[in-house]
Amino acid sequence: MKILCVAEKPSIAREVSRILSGGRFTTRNSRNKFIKNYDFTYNFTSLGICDVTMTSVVGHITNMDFPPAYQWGRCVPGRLFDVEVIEKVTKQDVFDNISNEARTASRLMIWTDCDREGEFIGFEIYKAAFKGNSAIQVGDIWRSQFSHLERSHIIDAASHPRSLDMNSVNAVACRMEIDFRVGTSFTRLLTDCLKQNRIIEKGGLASYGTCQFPTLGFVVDRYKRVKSFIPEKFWYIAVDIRKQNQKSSFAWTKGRFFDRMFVTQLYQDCLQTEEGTITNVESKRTTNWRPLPLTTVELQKDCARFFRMSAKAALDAAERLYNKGFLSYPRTETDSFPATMDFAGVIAKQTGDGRWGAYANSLMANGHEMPRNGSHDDKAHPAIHPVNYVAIDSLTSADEKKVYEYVVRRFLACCSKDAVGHQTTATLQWGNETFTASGLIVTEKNYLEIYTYKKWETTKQLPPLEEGEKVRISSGQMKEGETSPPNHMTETELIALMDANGIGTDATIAEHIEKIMQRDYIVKHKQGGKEYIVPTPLGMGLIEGFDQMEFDNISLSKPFLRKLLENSLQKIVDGERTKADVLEEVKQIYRQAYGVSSQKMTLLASVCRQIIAQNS
Amino acid sequence: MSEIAIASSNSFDSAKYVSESASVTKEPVLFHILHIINISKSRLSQRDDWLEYSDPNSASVDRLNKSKKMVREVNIDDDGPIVSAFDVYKLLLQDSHKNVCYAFEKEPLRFLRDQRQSTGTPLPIRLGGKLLVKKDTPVWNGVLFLENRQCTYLGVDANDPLNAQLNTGLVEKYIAILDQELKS
Repeated sequence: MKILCVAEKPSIAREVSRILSGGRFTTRNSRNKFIKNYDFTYNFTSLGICDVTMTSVVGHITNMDFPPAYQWGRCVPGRLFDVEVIEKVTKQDVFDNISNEARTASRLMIWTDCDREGEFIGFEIYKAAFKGNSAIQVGDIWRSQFSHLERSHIIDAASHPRSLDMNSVNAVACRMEIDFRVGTSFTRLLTDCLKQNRIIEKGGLASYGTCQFPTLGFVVDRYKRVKSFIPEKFWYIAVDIRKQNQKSSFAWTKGRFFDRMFVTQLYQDCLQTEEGTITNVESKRTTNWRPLPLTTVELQKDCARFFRMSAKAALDAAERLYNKGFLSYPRTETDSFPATMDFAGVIAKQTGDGRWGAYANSLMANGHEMPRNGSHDDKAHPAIHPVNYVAIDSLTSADEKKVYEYVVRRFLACCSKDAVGHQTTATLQWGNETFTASGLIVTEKNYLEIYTYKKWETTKQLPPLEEGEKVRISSGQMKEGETSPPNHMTETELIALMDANGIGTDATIAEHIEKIMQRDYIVKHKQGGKEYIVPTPLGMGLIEGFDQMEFDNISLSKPFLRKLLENSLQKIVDGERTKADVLEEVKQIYRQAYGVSSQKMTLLASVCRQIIAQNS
Repeated sequence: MSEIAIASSNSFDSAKYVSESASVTKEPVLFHILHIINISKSRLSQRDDWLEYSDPNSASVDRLNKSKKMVREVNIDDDGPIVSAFDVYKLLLQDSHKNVCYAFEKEPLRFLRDQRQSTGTPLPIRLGGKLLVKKDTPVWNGVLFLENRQCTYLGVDANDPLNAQLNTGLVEKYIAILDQELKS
């Protein structure tokens, strides 16, 4: 009996073959220079010893297209919402290789990444296999579940396959069709209009995407907020006391107010009393929690913050490290680890490193902590963690070095004790108002010793104070402050906004940012050593133009529509809604929006022209 | 006569108290609440709240905080800006003799935080409601400082023409006022 195994990438096919065959496999070339076919035997739990051919795809092998009569320039773009979509094989050599190999196979086993997209690619693989061998049925497909390329994990995945999840397949198919119809129709409409109005060049492209525009919308909204900012005055009361020749500043527990009269009245009331009373002194142990296990979005945010690395560069580096077997699967929303995970085994692999080996050794010697568990679980992959050790100096890419070191330090921090400190907080009553001051001594750094990206340090100490003690107010002032303008959008913030609002997935957030940069809708610029993202005049014009169109209770530049779609897709995955139902509902919304947009393209062009002229 | 009947005929002329740093009301007074201002939030931030309430599609979405329709705030940096510990409201009140005065919350007033009164707008209650301010309420330089034990909220009389007058076009009025204040 022959089992045909197909992975999502050539590197995974090779590594899984090496593990399952124990290194005893033969290699055959396919017509695609990157894809090899590996032959070996493997003893499957339910079938015994079988012949195995392991091969791979390189991402999607099929795509959607419109019939020839509906290509660009041959029809009104609005018709693309309803015309039949045809499936097109985009990588014929890869498709044919699977069809050929399936001819002699009795069963198909899918080894694509364990996420929704991987499930859909699994279905594409099935269709290629079915073309070569119609005896292979969807219900018979084995779907392996794995998150990294550690030997025992892969063997376990080979022993416990499940069925292909057709709900996930349908959700991805639905999302792809909506993105394709909406993206193509609006892109043609936009591009033609902007070309006619000479806003973009002849060969240029003004794309519209259901994620691209909300992403651009975030950046434009922030830019406008910075530009239209008006400073406002606020007032507060600040108190200093002096004891043992040491000045201590106390902060008003009420904060600050935008009403001078209110603060003045309370301040005048305070001035009736010359001294204050210490009403409470609390000295307690305090902890600074170790980080949660690492998700993709946190990885991207931290890499942007600590290394000024773009989201795409961070994810690319993590994916390369995963393909080489050093990291677990880096596309995950899960911020916890399975309780059964061999934490000591993972730590032990890091003990030889010159930078963090001593710390890993101390965890081994003194016992590690169980990591904290977050509340997110994508039910597919654990949090990102190191799988195998690599000396970072042997890595050639600077990004890979930074990402690997960061992931290892984060993992070791997760397995460490929380940092401990001692905090003293004193409460001062002056008149009817209360003020507090505190001092911190860090007593045990614990995880902070290895997680060097975070600072938590000892502060100035309070003088000895006792409850009930009368203290002289050395300075009690009503102070005035002014609100300061927000900063432009950082990539870290943009990722956080996209993630929180369901714009893109952990896997595609980086691509959307990259795409709107390629389209010249946004640019990065440096200010005071920090990198910010700002819209170009074209990007501003597009968002302003769409915002000025009067849609029926929707917006093409805000995240709400995309969030609605994501929620509906989740319902398909959960079996609560059908693909056809969601497709029709969302298509109808965009069809109406398209109708309004096509009538108001002159407005959009005029807004774009105006903003470009103002900024030239 | 009931306390409310007496209070409704009494008046409060804040001008008489302006030079007194700490005084109290001499008798109970019944007021209408004409306007409510949140003095804990910047006007720009309040303007955002009103815009989001009137049309979520026109509100800025570049910030993360917990609003009705979307997550709009996550703590990216450890040190957030200094903000007020809780919302404090300033009320514009009018007695039956058409005298107007300001009142601040001396402590968080329950009727402004009562979920049953919730309007769904950025305002905690509808405008035009009646407020009984009792005798001996602090008056500092002509401004009332309200505490729960010294005032009773009597709600909005649906048939009172003031109710419709104050609450019609509320969003536009508030945005116009905030815009005007920001320009000045």
